Amino acid sequence: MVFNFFFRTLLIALVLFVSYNLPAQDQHTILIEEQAEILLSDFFRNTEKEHALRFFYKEEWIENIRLTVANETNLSDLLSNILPQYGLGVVNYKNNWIIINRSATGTTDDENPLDEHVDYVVGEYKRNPTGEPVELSGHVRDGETGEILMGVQVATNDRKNGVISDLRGYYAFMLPTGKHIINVEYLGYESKELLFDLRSSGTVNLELFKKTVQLKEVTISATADDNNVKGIEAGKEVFSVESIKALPTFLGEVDPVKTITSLPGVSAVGEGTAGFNVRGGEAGQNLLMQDGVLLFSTSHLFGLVSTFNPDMVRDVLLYKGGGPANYGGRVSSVLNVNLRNGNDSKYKVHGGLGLISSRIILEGPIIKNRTSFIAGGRVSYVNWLLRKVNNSDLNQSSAAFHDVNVKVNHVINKSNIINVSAYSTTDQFKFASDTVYNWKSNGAAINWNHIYNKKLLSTFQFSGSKYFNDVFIEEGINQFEYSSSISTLNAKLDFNYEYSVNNRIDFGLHSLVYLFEPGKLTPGQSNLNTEPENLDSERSVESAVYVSNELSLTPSLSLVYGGRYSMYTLYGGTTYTYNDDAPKSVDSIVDTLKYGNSESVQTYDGIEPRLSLRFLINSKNSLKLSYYRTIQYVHLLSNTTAISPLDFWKSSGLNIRPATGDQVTIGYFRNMLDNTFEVSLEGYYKEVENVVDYKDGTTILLNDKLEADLLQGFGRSYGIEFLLRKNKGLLTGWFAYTYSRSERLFKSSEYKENEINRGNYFPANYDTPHNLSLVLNYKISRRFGISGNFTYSTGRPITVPVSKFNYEGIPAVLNFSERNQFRIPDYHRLDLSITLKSGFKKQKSIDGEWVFSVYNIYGRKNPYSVFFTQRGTAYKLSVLGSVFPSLTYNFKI
Amino acid sequence: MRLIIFILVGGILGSCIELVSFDTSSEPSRLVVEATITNISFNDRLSMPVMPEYFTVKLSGTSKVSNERDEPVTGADVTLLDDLNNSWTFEDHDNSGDYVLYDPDFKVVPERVYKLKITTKEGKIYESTEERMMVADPISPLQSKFIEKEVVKDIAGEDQPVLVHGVEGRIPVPENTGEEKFYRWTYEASWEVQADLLAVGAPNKRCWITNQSYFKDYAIIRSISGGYVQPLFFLELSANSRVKHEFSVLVTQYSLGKGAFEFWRKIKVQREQGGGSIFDPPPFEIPSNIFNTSNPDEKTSGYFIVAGESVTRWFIKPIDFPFNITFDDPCAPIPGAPNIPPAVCNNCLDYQSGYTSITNLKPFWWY
Repeated sequence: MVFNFFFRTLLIALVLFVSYNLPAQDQHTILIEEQAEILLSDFFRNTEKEHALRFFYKEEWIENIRLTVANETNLSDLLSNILPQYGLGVVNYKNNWIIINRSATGTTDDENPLDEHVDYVVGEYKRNPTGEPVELSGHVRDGETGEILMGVQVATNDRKNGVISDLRGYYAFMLPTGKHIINVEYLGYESKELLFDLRSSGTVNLELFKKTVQLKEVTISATADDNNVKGIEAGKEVFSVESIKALPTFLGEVDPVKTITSLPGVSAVGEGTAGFNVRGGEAGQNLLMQDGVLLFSTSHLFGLVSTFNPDMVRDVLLYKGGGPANYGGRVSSVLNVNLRNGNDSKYKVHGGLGLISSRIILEGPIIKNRTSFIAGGRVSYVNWLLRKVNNSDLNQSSAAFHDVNVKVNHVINKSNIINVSAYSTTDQFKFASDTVYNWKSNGAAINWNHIYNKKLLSTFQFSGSKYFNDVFIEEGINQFEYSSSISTLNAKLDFNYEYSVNNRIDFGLHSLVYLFEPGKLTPGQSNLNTEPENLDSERSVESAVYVSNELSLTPSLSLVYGGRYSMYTLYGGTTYTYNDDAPKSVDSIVDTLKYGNSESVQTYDGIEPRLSLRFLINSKNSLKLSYYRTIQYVHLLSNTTAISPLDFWKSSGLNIRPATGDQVTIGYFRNMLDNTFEVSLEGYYKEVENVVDYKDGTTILLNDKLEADLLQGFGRSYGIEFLLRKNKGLLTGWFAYTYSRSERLFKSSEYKENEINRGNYFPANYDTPHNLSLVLNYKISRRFGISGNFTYSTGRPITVPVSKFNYEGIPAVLNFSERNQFRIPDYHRLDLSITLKSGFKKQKSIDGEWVFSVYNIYGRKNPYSVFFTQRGTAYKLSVLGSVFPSLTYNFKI
Repeated sequence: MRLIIFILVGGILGSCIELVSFDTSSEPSRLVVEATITNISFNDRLSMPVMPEYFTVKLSGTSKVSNERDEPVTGADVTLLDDLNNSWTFEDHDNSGDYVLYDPDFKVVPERVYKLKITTKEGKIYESTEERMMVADPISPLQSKFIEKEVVKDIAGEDQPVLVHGVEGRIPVPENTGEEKFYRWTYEASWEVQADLLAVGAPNKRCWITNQSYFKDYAIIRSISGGYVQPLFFLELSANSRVKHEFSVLVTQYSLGKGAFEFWRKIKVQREQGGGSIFDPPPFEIPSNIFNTSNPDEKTSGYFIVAGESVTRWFIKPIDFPFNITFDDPCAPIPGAPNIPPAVCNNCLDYQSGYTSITNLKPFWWY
């Protein structure tokens, strides 16, 4: 006999109330005769008939429960013995026997899940008659591609029990029997809240779907809806590739780096330039990685196009600060672009046709469900476009790039997975039959993941990379070739130990070998004016051990803390010692020291503590604090504001010390209206000791005594970042505003020559106090969306001529201001894009979309650089100073 | 499609350049001191292939970058001092800001240390740092090397590379026996012009022209060991009417101290950069060795230079060329046009193509 649920709930409440308040109950004894293997539901029906009483229960609670009555027994005792092992209880009031579900009533405070549809019934009660806790396990996959998903959180609603899926997408954890709401969350995917009825140990394979594929609306956030508030690590940002693709693009080229510059605290170095600045840090202070492999360049065409192939990217992770202790080596930020694994069950082709480049991706199984591959390539055809134009300069120019990425993933067995990946990117740029700039980046990595047991797993990565650039003039009396390169070899062994869902320990060992070949100049045969030159290469080894613990002390207080001990040694090469009684300069060199390749020149080491703490005020509000120390042993020297292929890396050594960055942050995070809106306000203060700058008029390239012209000083930056983000609904997007300052101080009590700007604070090249960005996506229909993006920032500081004088017939010798005392015009730009997708049928042969983008819609002539004529007249050069429409077609087969 | 390509390519590589301005009005005018003294006196110069000149200190104020001319600083007391307390006074007779030392025998001697002292009419006192002449070997005769070179020329409004014949003037750098040396070389061009329509021997048939800015550049080196040949200037010969008769270059070698070398080096770097390339180094301050005695932080411009000077004169004429060069005849009638030859064809003093000085009296040092 089943009543409607509402009525029964009311009744249960009433009965519970009464039974609690009226302990004197009708306790007359009902004796039950012997019965063998009877279904509990049948037993209830029979007993109702025989004893004129009534049972109240929900049919599915007692499904499949069987009982045997061995001897004649009192009904009350019988039920009290049998029901608890199924998570049930009984309350008796007069002739009404009410069955209650104890495990479910205990799980939530405000809503009772029992009225909901049970998604999965796991096991059978009879297999677990004693009611011991049982194991729930299974695999998690992408429901669309079949790709296994690693790192998916499978946990109870209250997060007291749960686990992260491992490298095989496998999860397993213990739970009491009964009903549980299980949350399945993974970045970029639609989270699931599932009701499990656990009866005995069992397996449930789960599927998640990418948000944009399944959802009615576009969702910006890549992480769990409430990650803003509940995430422990301050300054961590994760973008799924879907959210990166939702932004308007320049010429249809999706660029993860451009996307992160729309976040508060991150700014672009300049229009159409590579590199970005995080919280007042230099572009060379960002740790750039693809799948954990170190990169030195992330752009094609001097920064116009990113080197990351968007169809291969799974997500982009950015730490605004040193990040947890497993990262090190750069003081400002960590950017890791994760590539996805290939589909291990079916073959797929994706691609895109754009105005300046096209790309194609192939993926599929090599051995089904065991070995998969994904390979992608892009090629540009700017040259073809250049020849179409009736201009001799452009006809003689060339700009070409291509890149290739391959990744093979192989599941050896339950506990071992191996993957191998490689990339190669090439750029060539030539303007009007003049100098040719070539730069290449190659790298390969092998990863071995090993699972020791359910709690401990390790990842071993061995990778190597070479970044090479080459500048030459092919013919004529100026013929020359200049080349330089950076090679790395990197070994990393990382362990993750999950003591419990609230206590995780990461530890590991890293070792990185750098080989800088700073420059080699070879003049051509007819070039007699130039002497060949080859600077000594620099070899160094940077090693580190770290341990990091993520711990939830109480449900509201969680922290990630740890430390990294790093050590660095420079080997070989030529170095100089300087007279201590004079400012460091070429003239104060007193000795030249030559070291053999394996001879250690100088060693530095240091401890880098990291702490990030989150205090949950309630489920909608949290406070986060963090402190990071990071040591950077290699320095990027650039005498230009923009990152260029000619940038020069310098090892720390006898005369150049490593830079040390300390950053503290405090932030308030709030989510509103069921996580539809999130707001955050974060403040930071950062100091960097031993930032490197150069003396006035220093030549950086091919300067074998460069260190004599370098100064080390102090950098500080501080700022406030505000973010308002709307994550759900037809209209999504965010508004970010940052006020920040970044300043440098080069002061010397001994020598005026070692000072910049007379020992006063001056703005760093990338100090832009006001930064604002507004990103909006509006989903007009399931197939049709429109996106807009507006950015504004204060103009960068610049040094300008303030006066001029005639001297010995030279009409104008310019006097410049002190460094960075003026600003170039402010930067602002609006972009729009419209996306039209093909229908949403799940089974279709081609899934295509058209993207129409307009970059710089009102044609703002933002300055790329400002330069001065010999007479001091200032001009601004706008590289992208007009409207750029583009049309791209993307497809998946 | 063509429209899109055009926008695209024009946008990326055609880019655009616009004027911008910065408000530098709060920048005060600085004192500019242009002063070089050497070991060659006025009287020494009389017997050398140069125009005799007294030593001059030029004082002016810096101007805004948009201004053409600097304002001269007049009414100042300019005194040269040495470490034996000798003093010499520079005088500005014509209120031009050019202060002249009318002492025909004054010259720098290597043993002494010199200092320049300036007292402006407002009573501000400026002093230079103490400077000493760096002794170096005298300049060697210039060597010629005839070469073909690609130069960029404006042809029909577009810069295009053109292969031209020319001669490179090269100087052997003296070998150092002791410490490193700092050299600067300047080159002053002179050439002969003839009024082609006049008979040989007619007055104003032949003139001699000097143009100090014909070569816009100067050379500067830091010589660690010396003993090699340094290219100085390139004189284009193809279709260059100035080399039609006889051409001469006066090369002056200055042996400088380190500070003066840096001053000239930085000016050279400043003049060679620019153009908005992403590879341009950022700008920097040109150093000065003049300080306000009561306010050392006050910025000044220019440099008081004490140098060892040495000159050589070099000549070249078409007969020396290892290749044939044809010159246009500006005085020949143009077929179909009225025959109005340029004035210089009848009077060499009517030369119009730019000079610092012109004379119809053959200089004594000319061939």
